[in-house]
Amino acid sequence: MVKELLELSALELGAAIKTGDISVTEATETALETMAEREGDLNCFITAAEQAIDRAKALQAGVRDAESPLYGVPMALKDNICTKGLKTCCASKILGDFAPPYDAAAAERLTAAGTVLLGKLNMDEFAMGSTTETSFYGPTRNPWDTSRVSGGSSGGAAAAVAARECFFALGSDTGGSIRQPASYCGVTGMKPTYGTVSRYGLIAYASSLDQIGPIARTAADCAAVLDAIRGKDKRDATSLDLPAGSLLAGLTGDIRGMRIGLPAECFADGLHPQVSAAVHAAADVLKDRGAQVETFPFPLMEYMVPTYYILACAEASSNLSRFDGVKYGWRAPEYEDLTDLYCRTRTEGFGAEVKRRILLGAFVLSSGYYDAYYKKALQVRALIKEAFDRAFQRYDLLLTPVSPTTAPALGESLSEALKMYLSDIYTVSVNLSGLSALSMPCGFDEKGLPIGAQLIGPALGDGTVLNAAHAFQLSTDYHKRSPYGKEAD
Amino acid sequence: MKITQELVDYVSTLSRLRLPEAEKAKMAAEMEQIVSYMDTLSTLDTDHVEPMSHIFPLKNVLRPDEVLPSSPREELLAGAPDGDAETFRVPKAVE
Amino acid sequence: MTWETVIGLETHVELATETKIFCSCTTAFGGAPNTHCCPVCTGMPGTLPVLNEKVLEFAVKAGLALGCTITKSSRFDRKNYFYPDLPKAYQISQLYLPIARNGKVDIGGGKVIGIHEVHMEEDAGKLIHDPWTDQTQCDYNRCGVPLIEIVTEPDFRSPEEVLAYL
Repeated sequence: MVKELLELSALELGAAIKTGDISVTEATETALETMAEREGDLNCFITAAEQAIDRAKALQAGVRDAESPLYGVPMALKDNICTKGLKTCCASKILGDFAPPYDAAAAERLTAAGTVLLGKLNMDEFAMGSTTETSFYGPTRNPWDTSRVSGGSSGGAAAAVAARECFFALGSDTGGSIRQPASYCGVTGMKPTYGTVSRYGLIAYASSLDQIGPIARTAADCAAVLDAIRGKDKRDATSLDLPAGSLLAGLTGDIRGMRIGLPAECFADGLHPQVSAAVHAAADVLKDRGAQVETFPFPLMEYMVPTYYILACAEASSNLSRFDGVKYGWRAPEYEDLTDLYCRTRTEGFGAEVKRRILLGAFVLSSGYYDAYYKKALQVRALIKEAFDRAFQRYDLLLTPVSPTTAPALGESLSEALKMYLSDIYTVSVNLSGLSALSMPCGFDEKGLPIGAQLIGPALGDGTVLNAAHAFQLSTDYHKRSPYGKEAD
Repeated sequence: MKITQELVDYVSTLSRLRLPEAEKAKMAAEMEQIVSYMDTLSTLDTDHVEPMSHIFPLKNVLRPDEVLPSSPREELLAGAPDGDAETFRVPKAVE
Repeated sequence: MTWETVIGLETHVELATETKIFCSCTTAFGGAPNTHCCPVCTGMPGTLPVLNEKVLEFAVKAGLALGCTITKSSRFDRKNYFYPDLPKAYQISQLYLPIARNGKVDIGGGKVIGIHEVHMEEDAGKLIHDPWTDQTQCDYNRCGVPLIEIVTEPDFRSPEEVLAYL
């Protein structure tokens, strides 16, 4: 019984709740039991929401009138998404036990849809990292192999969904932070077009790159979650007026005639052969379903990572200046004067990776270096965007790997920052250009570790991306596999 | 390019960070490696390319000049590391 | 050796809008400390600025009144520094593309002062220094009150001219 409930997708659970086959309370209790069972091994959560059962009971009363297909579904939020009255700390010491006095827009909309919040999910500190190992609260382990990382920075979110501790989660993606952990954990994760989901209440890392997005076990689930959270928000001046209509309703699975391009430079040196094989196999599946697939040149690939890190670090250095021990969060216990308060609080409150990025950011913005680095990166960004615009004149979607490898072992990535940064090579381009992209499970390597394939769409092409992923998932069952051996029907 | 410890000190002061001596050399070396990698951008010709700070040119997003209730003061002060019922508090800010 | 007096002025002017520049808190003067504030103007994490349309209107009017050219594509920038009256640790101001440029003001007697630019920015909070405890209290009511800064060319040659201008 219980195990079968856990294998339901978010939409299947929502449907079962609507018909009365499963109660909101039962679903929530099952999720909480699973958390209790698995958290010791995985460490997906930083904070549990104590009122989850009360919320479930209250929601049960309203099932008849429920409108959202996600009504009653237990979910969790990455810990950089503000939740009113519930600790939100970006996995950092410097935010202490900060409980925001407001909800993020995305959190508000999920509450309005009738979902149950289980808690706040572990992440790399301030979303800076690719393994969830920079968290002040310890790493999140990969449910497929707990000696390995879950990816980052939304590692807690991807692992929690894979481990069936919740039925979907919200993560955030600045350079791949939803897509990469989704690929390492064998789940589906999407970074929608920039401006699709309000950033009000998302604690900023790099404001021109950040976006909130869903992590779930199917593309259809992701579509439903996006439907619930996207749309213009007056409090975020970068949020877009989106055309009406549901992404979920647009999932036909029909991709006949769709033109899919494989950028040649994404399949070159550095890509693990088994990952390459799995992504090419995914291309074949899409071809079998009627898409036209071909390889094409995309020479700007080598400039993606340096451009990203210059811009992300620059924006981060400014965005993180507000963490100073004055208004909220943690303050150093001893200090001699104001400057000492700032320095001690920030030096002791931030972890090593965050400090490195703040210093890099200050460097590229400082006078004398601003033109050569920051301004140059903004110019290269324009070139990158142009290159994608040209590619999308020829293709409806692009298909690439998500990461050069499958999940590394714990501790393996931290010794060389640059090597860790280079593993973001396939994902950062999407954030630089504000495009839509999704990671879907497309195979396993010889060790049984999940491999993800990335579909990239043009800005506002979220529907196309989701439909292609949905089509892929109609023909394959990688997304149904579980680290615990059970499979969904 | 070379990242000296002086440069590390300079950007540290700008960021109100104060690394222990033992860590400064390591940070300088790491930054140098990363910045050298960032130097690859100089091989791209970007003459006449407008710097792109906004991916979508959303213009003139404005808000009406209508007052909305402010937050209850206790809520804003609730997380203050030091303060009283009315204000946030820091060590003397003026010499 | 004689000295030549050369003066340029930067004048900050509070705009008479109902709400702050980037949030909908009241700009009313006075008020108990921190009672005209919200998560946006106190720099809480995750908050975002949205520009008040009246601020833009008043800034453009001021620019026109000063004989300036209005910048067709204007932008805001962040001035980053650490001080307790600045909750976000940056002030949203305009550096590269101010709203108005190249104007002039006739201060009488045939003297014209060049206006270099007019730009919009947000005000900082108020610091109350307590000499007994060696501590400083921060009141953010004034944070986010809209300002325009009027920058003249260094055209003044005497204090009398400055007074005539002001």
